[in-house]
Amino acid sequence: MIERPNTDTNSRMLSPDQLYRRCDESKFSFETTDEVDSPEYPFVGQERALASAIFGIKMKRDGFNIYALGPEETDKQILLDEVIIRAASGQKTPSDWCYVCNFKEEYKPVALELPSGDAVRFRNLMHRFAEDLPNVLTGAFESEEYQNRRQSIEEDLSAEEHEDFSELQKKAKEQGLKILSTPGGYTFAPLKDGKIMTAEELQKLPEEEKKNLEQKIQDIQKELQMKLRQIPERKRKFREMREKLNRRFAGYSIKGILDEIRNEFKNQQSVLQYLKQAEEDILNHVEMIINPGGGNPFLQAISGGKELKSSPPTDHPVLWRYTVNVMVDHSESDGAPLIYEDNPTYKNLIGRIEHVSEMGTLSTDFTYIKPGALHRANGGYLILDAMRVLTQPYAWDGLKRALQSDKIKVESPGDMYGLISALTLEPAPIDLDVKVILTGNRLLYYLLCIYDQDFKNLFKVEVDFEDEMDWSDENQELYARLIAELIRKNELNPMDKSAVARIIEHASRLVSDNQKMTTQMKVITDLLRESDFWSRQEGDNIIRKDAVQKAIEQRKYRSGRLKDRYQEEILRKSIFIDTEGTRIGQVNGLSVARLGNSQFGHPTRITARVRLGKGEVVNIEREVEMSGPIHSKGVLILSAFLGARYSIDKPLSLSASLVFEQSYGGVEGDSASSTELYALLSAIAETPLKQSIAVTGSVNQHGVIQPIGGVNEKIEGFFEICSNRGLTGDQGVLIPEANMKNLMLKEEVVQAVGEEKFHIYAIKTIDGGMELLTDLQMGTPDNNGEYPDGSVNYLVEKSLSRFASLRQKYSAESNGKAEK
Amino acid sequence: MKISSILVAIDSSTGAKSIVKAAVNLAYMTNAKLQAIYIEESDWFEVSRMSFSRQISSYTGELIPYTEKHITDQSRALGSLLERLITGLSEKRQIEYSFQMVRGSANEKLLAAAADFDMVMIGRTRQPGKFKTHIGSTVRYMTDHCPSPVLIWNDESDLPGKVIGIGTTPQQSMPVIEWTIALGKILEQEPSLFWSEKSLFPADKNNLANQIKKITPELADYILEISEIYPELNQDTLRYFTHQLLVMERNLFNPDRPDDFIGYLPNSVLLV
Repeated sequence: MIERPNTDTNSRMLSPDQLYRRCDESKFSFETTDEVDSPEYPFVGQERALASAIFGIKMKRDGFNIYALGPEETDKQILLDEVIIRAASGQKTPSDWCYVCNFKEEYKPVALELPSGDAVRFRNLMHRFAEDLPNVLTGAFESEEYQNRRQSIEEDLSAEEHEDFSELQKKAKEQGLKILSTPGGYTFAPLKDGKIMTAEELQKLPEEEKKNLEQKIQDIQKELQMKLRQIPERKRKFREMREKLNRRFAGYSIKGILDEIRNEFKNQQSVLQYLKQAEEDILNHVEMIINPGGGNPFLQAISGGKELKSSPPTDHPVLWRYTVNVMVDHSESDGAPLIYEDNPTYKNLIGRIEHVSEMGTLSTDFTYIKPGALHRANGGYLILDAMRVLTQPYAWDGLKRALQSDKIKVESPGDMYGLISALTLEPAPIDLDVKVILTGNRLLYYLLCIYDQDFKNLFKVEVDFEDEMDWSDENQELYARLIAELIRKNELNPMDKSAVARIIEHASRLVSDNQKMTTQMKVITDLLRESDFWSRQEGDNIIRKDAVQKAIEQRKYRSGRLKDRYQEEILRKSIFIDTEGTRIGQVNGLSVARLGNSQFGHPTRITARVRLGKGEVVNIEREVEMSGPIHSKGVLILSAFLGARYSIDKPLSLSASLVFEQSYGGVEGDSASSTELYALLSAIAETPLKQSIAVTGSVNQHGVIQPIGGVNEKIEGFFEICSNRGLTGDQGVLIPEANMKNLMLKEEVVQAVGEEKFHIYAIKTIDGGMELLTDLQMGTPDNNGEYPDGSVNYLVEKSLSRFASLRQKYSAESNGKAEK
Repeated sequence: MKISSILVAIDSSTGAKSIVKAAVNLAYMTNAKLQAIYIEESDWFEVSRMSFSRQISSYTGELIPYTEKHITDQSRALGSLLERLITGLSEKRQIEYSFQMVRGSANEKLLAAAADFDMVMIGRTRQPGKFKTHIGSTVRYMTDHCPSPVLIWNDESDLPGKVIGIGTTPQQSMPVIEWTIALGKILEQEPSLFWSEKSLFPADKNNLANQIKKITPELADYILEISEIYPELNQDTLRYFTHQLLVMERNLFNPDRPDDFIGYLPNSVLLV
């Protein structure tokens, strides 16, 4: 007589209350979320992350930048913003920065640091000063005093010239000669009776007289030449005197307005030094300031015919030098800045130098330097998405370089790598003092730790966000407060406590753990919004449990097309799944499919065939490279179990093959390894397995059933097939006992279990599962190591022994034939 | 008082561009025809035929050959430059203009050409220092012989500020009054009249005004100022006249007089 299996020790049937944990709303002290206070922080269950973030923010040493890691759905930014804002508000507002012209080396603009709020003020003062400059200088140079003094210089110097010339003219006259002005210069003509001698009259003169005349002319020519050669020197002297006069007048005229600016910044040595240099530069460019075109056709062409003198400083060929390019302005800031750069290209991070096309070439100057996020965040905090930084060319290198050098150096990658040879700038680097916070997933963090040595030196603080938190009474209360806060923040209708309880239950379902709740608040927030939507659709101004339930169901519905089609294929018997009867070597395994927002469980037929062989268990999925490594590992483990239990002292003489029937998309994971083992044992023992029961669970070499993932989806997937076909009362699912804490099944399943129309069994060992599937005892070996008759183990051993004999016989026959 | 034609004499001096520019602007303002005349001095060619003739470059001081061919080439080149100058400026202003190049005595040729023009413009190079000016012989000759008013243009001038007429008495200086007001209108500048006749002073301004009104009632409204002027000029009076265009009687101009005050003035002067 075959004894019924004793399931007490190896397996147990679960009761409805073990399948779903309800949130006890009676523990809430509110009726709606309107009555609930906000939590101190707008997040829960992130104590580690909070402590790490606070440490990271407060730690001011180099290299203690932060990497916040965790799943995308965890709103890391909320926690970070909260911590940073609290810290930043108490900090000093950082300095303003601006670039100004380097008058000695124009391509190396100078960086000026100013107290916060002063950069714009400085810029405006300088702009106004530059605008006024032409008029101020023109006024000085049009003044009567200047005109008279310049006139005086000209007259004094020219008088020397003309006196010399007059003397020469007089001397020439005395010698009977006249200086003639010709198109090419001067010549000397002999006179007769006060008139110029003709050539004929000259010819008639005696030779000696002619020679004398010629000699006189030569002598006086030499004198004239000497005089003329002194002219350039005289002119140079005049220019120097005029220049000196111009400088004196210009200096005097601008001193007053420059002093006004100096007074505004009398404590800023860098500004005072700059103003001194600017003053000198103005004095060197006075004429260009007053007369910018200066007859220069190119300048006129560039101006497009505009009156250059009255152009704004930025368009004037000289005045732009005295403008100020404000890079960072904190005039309206209070405390340290918090900047989030959502497009962290190299240029957006480090800044850029723009160029302008002028007459076919690219040119630039300090006014074309643009700030980046590092400039804006300097003295404060910069939050970046790690993946975005890493996927932007040069951005990661640029960021690291800035952090390592503590300087922001604006240069284009094209210049750095010699790709561009246009005129460019080398702006003075700006001191950098910033805390960078990268946000990203865990995989990225660990990859960076392994492959980028700089990363570990620069980002020493990891802020590791939890995916889930304990579902304790205390946390439940906190969660409710957080829900209330999210509702207020998103301007949703208030929620009653039953709805809050439902949310909490769903938060547990999301992490597939009835002792935990999810901390991925983005998902919860979306659920709240959808619940609010559905409640408003019903005209309700309070979100109730029904609305939440509808939101959950509608979301499943929206992403359930694939699941529905798959189930339809099963129900229409395109995919073969039996939910009744028994089969040898065939069992219903359970898989989870994940695609986009869709995640659903479904049964999969797993079959096993055996024959005489050399002990290999063939994983057909692996043979066709459709098996992932973990799945392959699972098959090897069950093979090891088989060998360890049944072939300790004799070889396994079978060849077995396992396959996921009608599976064309690849298999990964070892959650079906116990299922495969059941199929294999069934095939070896020729013992049929119940098709009404689906199985999931990983098995180790000792036959212990290990926990798997997606247990809720798997159970529900099989349940829906059975339910659609009509529950028979025999159907159910075997799950690992270790997965009991993961159960948060939907109401339908719980109800069916309560009505004994469906059953969930938690098993510990392969023996327990086999007994449930076969209704036979596995059997325990006696002192002789023999299993009881009719037990599964007995049947397996019997079959293996038969295979061993057959193999031995076959081998002997083969050897005999060979010897012949 | 209408100016419908202007003759401007230009040469190789540094003031050529200035006087051409002024002439073009004046022609533009008066809608007058402008003729520029460049005179190749016959003396140049005469001297170039002398065997020992040389030229000295006014810029480098070096000796350069001076034959008839050289001077012809130089003169032609200069003529072309001057023609381009006048053409460029005139066409920009879209005025009617012409350019003439003649050879001969500057005085004779200029006087002959001036007969048909309402005004003759001729340059002078101001000789600074001690307020002496260089009035060339051509200027003197034209002043003495040209029937039309002669505008002696200072090569460092631009179009002036005020227009100042300097007369003796209202009766004697009618042309001065008329030209002063006419130029004031043309140049859109305020005209002023100053009187140099000592017997008028101390000036009875009302009396003077009345006298002028009697003679030219339509011009009386334009007379804005009646002040003294002293023949002995000094820094103070000069300062007042700086950058102004003067209108004067020819008989007040006597460059042979050692105290001739035109020579003191850094202005352009219209001798009527």
